[in-house]
Amino acid sequence: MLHCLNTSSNLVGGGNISDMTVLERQRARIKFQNEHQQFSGNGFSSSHQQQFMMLGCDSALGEIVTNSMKPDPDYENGFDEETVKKRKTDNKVDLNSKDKRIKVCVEEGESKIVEQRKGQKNTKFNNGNKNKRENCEDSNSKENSKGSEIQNQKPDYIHVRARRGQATDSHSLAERVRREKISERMKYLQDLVPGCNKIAGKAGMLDEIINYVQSLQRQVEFLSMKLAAVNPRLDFNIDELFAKEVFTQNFPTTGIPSEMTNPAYLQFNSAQQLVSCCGGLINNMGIIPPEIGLCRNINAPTSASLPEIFLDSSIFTHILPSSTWEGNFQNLHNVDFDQARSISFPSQPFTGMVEASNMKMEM
Amino acid sequence: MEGQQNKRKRVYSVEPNKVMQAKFSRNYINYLAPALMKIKERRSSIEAKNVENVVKYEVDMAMVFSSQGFAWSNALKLKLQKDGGEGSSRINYQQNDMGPLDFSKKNCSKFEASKILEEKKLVEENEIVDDQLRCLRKLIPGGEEIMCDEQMVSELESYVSCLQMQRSILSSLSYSPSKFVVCATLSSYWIVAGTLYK
Repeated sequence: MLHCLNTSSNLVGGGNISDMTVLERQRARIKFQNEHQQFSGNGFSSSHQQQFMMLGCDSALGEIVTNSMKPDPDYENGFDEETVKKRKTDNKVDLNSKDKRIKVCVEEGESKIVEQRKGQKNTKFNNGNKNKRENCEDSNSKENSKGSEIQNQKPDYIHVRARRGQATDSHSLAERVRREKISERMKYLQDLVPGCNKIAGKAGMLDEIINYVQSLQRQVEFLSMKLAAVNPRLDFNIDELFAKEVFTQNFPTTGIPSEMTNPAYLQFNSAQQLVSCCGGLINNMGIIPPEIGLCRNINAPTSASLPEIFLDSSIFTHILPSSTWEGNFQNLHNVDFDQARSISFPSQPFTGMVEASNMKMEM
Repeated sequence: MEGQQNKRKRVYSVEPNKVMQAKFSRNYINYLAPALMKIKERRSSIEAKNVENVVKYEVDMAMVFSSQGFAWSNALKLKLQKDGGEGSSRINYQQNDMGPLDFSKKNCSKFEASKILEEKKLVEENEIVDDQLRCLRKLIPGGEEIMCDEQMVSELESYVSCLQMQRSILSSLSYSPSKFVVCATLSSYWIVAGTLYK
């Protein structure tokens, strides 16, 4: 019965459209539905209906859309069986996010309404579209619930362009959904690839990405060749560094747990900053290994316990003001150097834990 | 002291990406540094032209070890194991110039044609995007095996960021090796010191 009512309301909304916006259409639908409640024959109040529509998103919505696609009111009574069938099949769909669904739905809903205006092909569309219909159902039902907060949550649905001329068979719709997902993911790529922000189109952006990946690969190749040439000069005297027990220990001795709560430490613990600081330390101060004012206090590495590292904060005061890198780790970490600078690093030591045994093995 | 040593102190970065990147760097250097040392020692026994390949191999293997868990990483590993360090793992990408969308070629003569044109634009754009996605598949190691485009794009994210990091590490290695020595050890320390412990 409910779907009968939905049918009628949607039919009106669907059938009379000329230049009405979606909102207006919905209002017309609701009005019609309120006026013609006797169609249902069981006295559903509109509020109940809306509730039902909201709740029964996954199931009852098929009817709404399918019915909206059938402009002929005479089909109204014949909807029952069909819609019941659709109700059962609609539960199979699994999509990621409702928002996405709604977004996709809106476009599809628009397109469907357009289709209704133009060609009014119904059966084929109805039968082929179970999955996508659920999207539309979702959005349509929510659209139908007038004045609900959902409308406020999607303020932009009115501005969605109807995709005219686009085929609405299941393949195209599936493809369109797929493309939407890809566009979503490409937003993350935009952040990664420098210079992608300016480009608007998807194809141009992909072009940029392709070029960037190619150039990165070529660079890596070139650098590895260079590394092969440089190899003889490389000298990882790591054991030496480990063995040396460095230096100025002018801070409280042990790793006090309270230091961990040091906000500066917590802020600073982004390893990116650490690495970049190290890079900067090396680059800007031109320090050779033994002279690093770096305090390490490595406990017996053979023990299973983890040693602690203490860092003299004075090092960081050296590093922090400098803002020019030799670019070694700059690309690596995209350090927001202002962030490091803003941290007022007290003279408390910086503690950390090291998997020393692991390091020893690997080094 | 003992208790504090045994205590695992969790450190959380406000930017989890950077933690991931730091872990990558550490693992990468951890693998590559001794590998390079070994190559250096064996240098006399290896032919000149093979050194490059060996280095390339090690570079790629370092990449694999640093970025475990990604599909492309596994694919790269398989490829390296198959080739055994002879062939380049880098795909020689033939220039497949996509070019920008060029709709000026279309004859937009009539008014109705504009609608058709728009339709064609979309179709063409879709085709171009498809071509580009195919190209990207070829670029990513193991891209052909990835079934759906969405997954490929997400793999692409990790691949691009790992490539960026790899490039930075290699550049610092090649261009300032002496400084890198310290950097490597220190950075390893700091990276470990700063990262989440897993």
